[in-house]
Amino acid sequence: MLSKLLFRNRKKLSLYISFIGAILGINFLLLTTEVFQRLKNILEAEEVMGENTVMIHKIVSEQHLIGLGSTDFSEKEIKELQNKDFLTKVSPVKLNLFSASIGLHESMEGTIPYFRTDTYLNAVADEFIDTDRSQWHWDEKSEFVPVIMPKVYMTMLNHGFAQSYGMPKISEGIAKSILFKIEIDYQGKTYKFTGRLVGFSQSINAILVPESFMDFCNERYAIKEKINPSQLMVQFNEGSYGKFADLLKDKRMEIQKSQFDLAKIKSILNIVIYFIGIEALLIIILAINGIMLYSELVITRALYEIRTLLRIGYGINAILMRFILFFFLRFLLIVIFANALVYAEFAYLGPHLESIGMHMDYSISELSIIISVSILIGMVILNYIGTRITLVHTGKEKS
Amino acid sequence: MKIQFDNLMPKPLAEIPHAENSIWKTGFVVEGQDRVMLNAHSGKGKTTFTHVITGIRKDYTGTCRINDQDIRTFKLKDWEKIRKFQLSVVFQDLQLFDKITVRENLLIKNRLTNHKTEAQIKERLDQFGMADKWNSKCGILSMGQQQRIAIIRSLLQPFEMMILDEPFSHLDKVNQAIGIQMFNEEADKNSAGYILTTLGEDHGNTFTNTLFL
Repeated sequence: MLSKLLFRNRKKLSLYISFIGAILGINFLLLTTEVFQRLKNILEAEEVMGENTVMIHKIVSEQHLIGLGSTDFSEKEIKELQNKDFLTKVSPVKLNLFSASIGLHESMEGTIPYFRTDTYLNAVADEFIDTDRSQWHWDEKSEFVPVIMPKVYMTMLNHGFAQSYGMPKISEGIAKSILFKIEIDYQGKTYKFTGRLVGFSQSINAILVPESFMDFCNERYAIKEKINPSQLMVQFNEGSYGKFADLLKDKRMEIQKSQFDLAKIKSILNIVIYFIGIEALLIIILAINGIMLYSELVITRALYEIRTLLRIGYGINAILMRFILFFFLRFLLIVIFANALVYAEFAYLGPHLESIGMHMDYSISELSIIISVSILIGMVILNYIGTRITLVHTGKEKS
Repeated sequence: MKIQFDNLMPKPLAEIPHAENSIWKTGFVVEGQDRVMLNAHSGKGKTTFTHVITGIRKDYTGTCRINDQDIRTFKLKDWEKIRKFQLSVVFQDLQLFDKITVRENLLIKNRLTNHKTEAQIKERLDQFGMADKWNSKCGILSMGQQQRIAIIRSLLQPFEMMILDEPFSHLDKVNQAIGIQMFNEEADKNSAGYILTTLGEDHGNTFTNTLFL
């Protein structure tokens, strides 16, 4: 009865226009979030190195070939890079100073074809490894040495080696269950360790072992003198790709072409998403403002009814609750429609994306749900404050 | 309930002459079960008087107290309680909702305290000869009929004092008598008093006191 009295005079058209604006604004924001997350997942798929983490080295030129200059990084050069504000982490890539080979562990013989090869190993500071820290740990009592393989090894194994020798292909999941033996020859003896694969990386082209394992072996089984690192692992700030690229050019350094492109795409994507996100927020703010104005208009049109209700004994809160409930139900519908629209857009875009090889996950992410709920709560709070102020102002008789 | 004016003068009335016995000059106290007639010609401030007591107007000098408390200190919450449980009003302009029915107009007030049953409300309507108007929209009723609805609405709450601003201005003698009887009955039930403003009509009632503007 109270609602009938309060909302009888409202003009629906302006409300519908604001609602459509709010639905489109929220949909825009959610769609941006979802697309961003999916692209990010694709760009960082199965990567165990942290975000924006790359391996750099100096460009090998003719000067180096005739002995002028060095491709190694001196301590001074490393310090200089560490002082750059857009580089969050800089650490040398450690090389094995011992003779190492890697092969199939005895316990795995018969499961996949035997292999063994001399190899070189790399180690970087643990802070660069974006995987479960309990897995990426080694000390003298550890049963296994955790190992990270370049992703390209899997491609070589499945599409080169396996095909040539008529062997079955193996997935990354199965590969992680394979045990390796790492053998180190030192002064006529062979020291054996058991390695276990914990992940793959596109950022590095060597077999990675924990820094503690590398230090342990370099200390005990070294057959070469310590040398300056020729590669550095660096992590740069989100969005500072431009500065990083300038630094590489300036210092005549380079990274892998694929990493270069990936970092460039991620930087551009970040900027584009940032602006689209801001635009979506502006649309939402404008739409909410429209709804707030509509709320004020409804109160103005029901001024006589509100004043009379207050004069016959109704309280501000009883009237306020009607407005809050009225708008809450409509805000809820806005958020539901905006989410439903995202589903509809996925349904439309899905087949197109799948046709170009992009796997489509149709579920709405947790982040989108958090954004939706936050917008809903924000709209309810803003509407509560605005309506309360207007009602109290109305309730205070003018004269 | 005790209602008291001390040196109270509405600003719009400050410049016009007032009689020696006018409450605008002398003040007054009404309390308990007093049944007071407030007598004045048009333009002397009867509605202003009602609006001051009910907290609608604040453009005055002096003090109006309810139960010894200056009503200027009341917040909206205080007014809500007073209007719901202590002070019942028939406004001169009736303050009904035109677009909803008689039933809705009465129940919207009654549901605040559930003071009467629907049957009791209908009985009051019947006493005024308006039982058939239960589902009629208020806006289509005559002024006399609307005035009777406003009278019934004022009785749908507990109260300690009633402020009745010319409640019979559109009623004939028969309906005036029915109205007076209703006010007296409900005032007795609630052990309450009332102030009834008139243009000087008798209304056939025995008042405990008469005030002048």
